[in-house]
Amino acid sequence: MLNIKGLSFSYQDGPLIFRNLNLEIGENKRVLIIAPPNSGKTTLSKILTGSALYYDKGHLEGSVEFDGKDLNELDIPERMGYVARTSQNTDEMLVFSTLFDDLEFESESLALDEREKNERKARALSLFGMEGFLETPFSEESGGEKKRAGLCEIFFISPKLYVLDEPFDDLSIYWRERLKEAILNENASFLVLGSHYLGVYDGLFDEIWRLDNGELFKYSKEPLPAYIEDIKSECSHTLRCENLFLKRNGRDGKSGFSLDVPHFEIKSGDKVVLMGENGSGKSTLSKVICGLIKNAKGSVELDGVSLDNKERRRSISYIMQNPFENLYMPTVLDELKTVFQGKIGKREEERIESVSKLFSLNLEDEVYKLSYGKAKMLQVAIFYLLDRDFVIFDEIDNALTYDESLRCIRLFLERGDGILVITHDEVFSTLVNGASLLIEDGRLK
Amino acid sequence: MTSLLYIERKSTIHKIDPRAKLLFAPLFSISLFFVDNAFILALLFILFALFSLDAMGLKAFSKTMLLIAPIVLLLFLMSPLEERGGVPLLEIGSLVILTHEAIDKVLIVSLRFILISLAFAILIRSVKERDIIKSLRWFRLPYSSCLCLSLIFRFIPYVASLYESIRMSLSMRLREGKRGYKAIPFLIALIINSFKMVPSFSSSLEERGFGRNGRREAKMGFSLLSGVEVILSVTIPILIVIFL
Repeated sequence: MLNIKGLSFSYQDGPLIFRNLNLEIGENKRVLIIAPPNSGKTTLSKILTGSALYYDKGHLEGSVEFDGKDLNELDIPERMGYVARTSQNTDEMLVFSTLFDDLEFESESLALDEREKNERKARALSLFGMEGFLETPFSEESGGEKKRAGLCEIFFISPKLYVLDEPFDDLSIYWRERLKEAILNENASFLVLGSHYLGVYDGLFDEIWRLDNGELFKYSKEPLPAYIEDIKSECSHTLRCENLFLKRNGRDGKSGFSLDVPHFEIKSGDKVVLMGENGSGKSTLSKVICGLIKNAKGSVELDGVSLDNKERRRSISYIMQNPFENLYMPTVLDELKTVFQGKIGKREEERIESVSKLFSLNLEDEVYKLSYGKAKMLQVAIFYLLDRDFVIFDEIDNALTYDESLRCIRLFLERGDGILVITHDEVFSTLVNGASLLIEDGRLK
Repeated sequence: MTSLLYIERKSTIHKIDPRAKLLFAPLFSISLFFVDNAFILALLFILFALFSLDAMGLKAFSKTMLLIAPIVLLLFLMSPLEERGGVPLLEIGSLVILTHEAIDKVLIVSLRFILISLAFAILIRSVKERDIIKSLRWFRLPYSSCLCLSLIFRFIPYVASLYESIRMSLSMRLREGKRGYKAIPFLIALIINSFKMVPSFSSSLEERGFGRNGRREAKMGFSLLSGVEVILSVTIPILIVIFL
């Protein structure tokens, strides 16, 4: 049983993240903490595994006990048998090149004999359908596949307490249900951290808490935000894609993936939601439309004029999943200024000021200290300033609350843009309230 | 798409015990310095080119050759200037530009360089990273050193794929000039994202048990050859090269 008593925590020179926090998780109990971005979810998970103060200095008060054992007395590796976590950013928890290597390493850490190792491996792989991915390099896997690999590892370790940070992000509806089933059937305690309530959480947890300003409160299910109403656009642009085709070979040169989209069209003011399994081609389709993949066949036309790859990159906004890959300047202000290519007058300064308010950004904040959610807001703000007619949001609902995600989409729609939203969340797709498309094995339905 | 260095093939080279290949590559490289005959080195090059084609295919072989081509070119341009003694082939006034001996020397140096590159290319293209680590541990390399190598194998493709994502992501917002995009934003984003991963990776390593239970032993799982056979399978070809 996990017992957190009087936990207070702050990083050096930083504000208090947790204030006298108390939490108990009984044997085989499943607890969910809903917390908005930047509220300390990841820090809490790192405190439990002991890595919060691994490189950063800070101040930790209170006790974290598991079955009466003070976890703070244990080194990080020794906690492995009690508690293990998955991270929101899956890449940072995948240590070696392939799932096979990671599982071997973890098996050595746990000193498992061959029989035990093979049993655990077979079980974990089948839980998340990763049997065929043992030798696939992580660098070649999609976001969803990497997520499943991370989950596979933690179920292989089989700790007494699973700490899962946004585990349902990046997973398709099918794999979300499979994860839910795996959690329900596991003989262990779970602490799940999420930025907003998902439909799949129904019936999964014994307790649900809300983390607000460093304190825990009983969560009461809030009504869903209003769906996005249809907004009549004053613009009349059309983005039309014809006969998009792309074939990619797998590592063995034989198996592979092909994208085949005969026709796709989106107009100013349209809201289109694109859903599909992990690896079905959602991001690939978006990249082809935006001119990011060179050898794709087919045409993309804007108002009847065919666009080459370079023109597509200038005409369409594609807000990718990982915001940090899109940011390179020291502060939020510097990032927003780059949009104007150094030509900053009074008008531009006013625009930056107003956009920073629209997206709740502090202009002085240092970019690489931003939380994942805040960085995502900054990424969206940059594309808002770029002012293009069509926008693709790739899983914007990950790491942002429904309110924030919908607010971002609404802002683009209000100025007449055509929107394509990629998501795995059925509830969110309903809230976007647009035409629904499904992609299966690279084919649009 | 970024891939790891290993190439899945059913070549003869792939079937050789990884420990033999691991031992062969450095010893063969050293043995090349005992060969001073450009003709023999050229024959070895043909042999290794065939092995390479078998082990990694034409595409990867061409890539390897393209990668080392600039250095070979530089050797051909610079080395003759250092070797002016011997039978002159090209003179400008009293200045000897090229001699027969210089050509011979540059051929020997370049072929050695190409052969060493190919020997290591064949090694890393035909042995899985984990088998390299296992082999190194079989040769009694300390566990922490092997682990460092494993992480390097993990980090190289990770950084490459990270660069690809950054390139795509930033090309959606930066203006492309006549000569393409400015490199600085891409590099800054890459450096910062890579450095951000270092503490995460290392703490993850401990969270996954590094340092637990003190000493760690991986199962070697080699069944192809015995230790003596490994040593013999390497030393015999090396000796042949030296005596040639």
